[in-house]
Amino acid sequence: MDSMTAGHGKSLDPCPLPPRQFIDIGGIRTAYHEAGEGPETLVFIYGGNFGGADSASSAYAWNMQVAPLAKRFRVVVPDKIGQGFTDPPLRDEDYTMAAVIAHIRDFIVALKLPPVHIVGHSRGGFASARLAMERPDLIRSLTIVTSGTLSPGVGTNEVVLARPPHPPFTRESARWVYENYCFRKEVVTEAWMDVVMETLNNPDYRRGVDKIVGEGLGASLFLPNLARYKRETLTWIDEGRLQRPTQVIWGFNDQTALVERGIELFERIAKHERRTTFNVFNQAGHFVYREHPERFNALLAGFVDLHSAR
Amino acid sequence: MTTLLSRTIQADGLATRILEAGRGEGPAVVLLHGGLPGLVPYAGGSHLWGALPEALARARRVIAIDSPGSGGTPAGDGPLTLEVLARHACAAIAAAVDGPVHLVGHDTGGLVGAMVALEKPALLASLTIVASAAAAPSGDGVDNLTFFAAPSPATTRQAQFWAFDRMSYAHHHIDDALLDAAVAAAESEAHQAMLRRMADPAAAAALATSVLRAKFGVFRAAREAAFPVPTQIIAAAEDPLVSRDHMLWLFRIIAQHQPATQFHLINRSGSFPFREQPEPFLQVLTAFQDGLIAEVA
Repeated sequence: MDSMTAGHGKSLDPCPLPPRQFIDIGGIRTAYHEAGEGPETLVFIYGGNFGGADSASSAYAWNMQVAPLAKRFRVVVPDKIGQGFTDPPLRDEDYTMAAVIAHIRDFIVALKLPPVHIVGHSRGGFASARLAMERPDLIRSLTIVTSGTLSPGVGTNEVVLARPPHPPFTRESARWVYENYCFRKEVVTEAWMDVVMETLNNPDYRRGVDKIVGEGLGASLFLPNLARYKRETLTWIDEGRLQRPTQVIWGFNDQTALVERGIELFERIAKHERRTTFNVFNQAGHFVYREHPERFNALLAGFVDLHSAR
Repeated sequence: MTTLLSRTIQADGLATRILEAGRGEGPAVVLLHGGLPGLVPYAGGSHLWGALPEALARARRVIAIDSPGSGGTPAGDGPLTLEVLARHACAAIAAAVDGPVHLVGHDTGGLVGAMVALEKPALLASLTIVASAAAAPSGDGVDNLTFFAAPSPATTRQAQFWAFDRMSYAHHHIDDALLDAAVAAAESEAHQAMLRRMADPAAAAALATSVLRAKFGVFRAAREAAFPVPTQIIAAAEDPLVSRDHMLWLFRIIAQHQPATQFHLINRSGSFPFREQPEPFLQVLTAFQDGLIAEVA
């Protein structure tokens, strides 16, 4: 029983993902969704990280991209390690961004995907950019959507979302978080919250929460490791290692990653990579692709066409 | 291979040259070129668009309008102001096309496009303002020296090259086709008449003052109510005439109340992003137009 099935008290989903599939990636049972045919292949990497108790990301974040873009491209959406319906890390020391990126890398290799157009949101934007520099042979183009994690300067995620006024693991908490992320609060649908609650109630996901929150690995390992990793990643960008066409897409009203963060990121990438654009959507918060799916999809499809293998 | 056809239509009492090509299911795209005739050191007209009209015409109908005093359209007898250009643009669009169009205005044409949107919103499906110092707020900026010490006379091939070179990130797009057309436009009766007219300081001041009046009209309208049509701002990262910050402020102004507003920054381009980076320019331009249609569907 999964989120694709309507009924049993769930909201009818007007835009369901294709059925969830599983593949073993280095001992990690990895969930993913796939639709459409290549040769051009899009891989979507959502945001957040393992162990979130107030809200929970999963592949469903991209449900408004998969069907429309699968008409023209092969679309693959994995659940990251310890998120959605993919197993958490096997070892404590793997509760790091490095392990998340290694898992995405191994997933792309295991599926034998051609060099992909990777689309990363928020923390997923960081992972995608890093992968484009570690393994450029796997990446044809890079799309970064509102990523305070990757951009230099002060991210305001923690300011906007600190300590929700509802208990963890509740629908109220998740709804509060996503409504504060979004400018168009009506996009926080019951169907989306159904999947968030399904994720939060998944015992495998809860094992990650126990590690990150319960055992404190979030503060003692994940965040300090990410900080060091970010310093190195920005240095790599300044060195000119990011050599793939890159579009940076931002929500003008994202209070967790202001538009100035996006411009700073564009400037650092554009200095070394001619094929860089910066794109801002009005009346969009952190979830541009859910808040304006038609125009987001048109922009993304045009970018993929422009940088296809041909 | 698409061929542009030139024809003359009557608009606001002026025999107006337009170029047209292509057809498609969606709204036609109408292009308004830049340049203040007689005040900038290059000869404006639809030739400035380069290969963009042909590229667009592969999947849609395209019309490029020569504005009064530029290319093949005379300025008429009265004083030339932005209001005159906007009135003419409204008339030319209505005369050339049935149904709302995606209007694309570069530089001065971007400000004229914003005036068309305010005066005749029913003519437009969307507006795109490209690299427009005229439309962007000036914010008590410093002197812009891009055209400082322009060569004289301004109508020679060398002088035209100099002006385009000054406006560019790299000069490679300045090809024979552009220079041939610019020299022909510079020698045309419309352009020569504008040079004579703008030699009068009062006429030049009237045109320059009308730019401020027009842009303040746009700022006020966008502050007080929703700007009437979906609008995207396309800026060039190395535009010597207007900074990316100024163009982002133009986006902020339109975005105050118009929900469908987008901003795009094209890397490694000066004032002509559609010439210097034609592929990414075409991508963002048509993605916005196509995305709006998908949104309505």
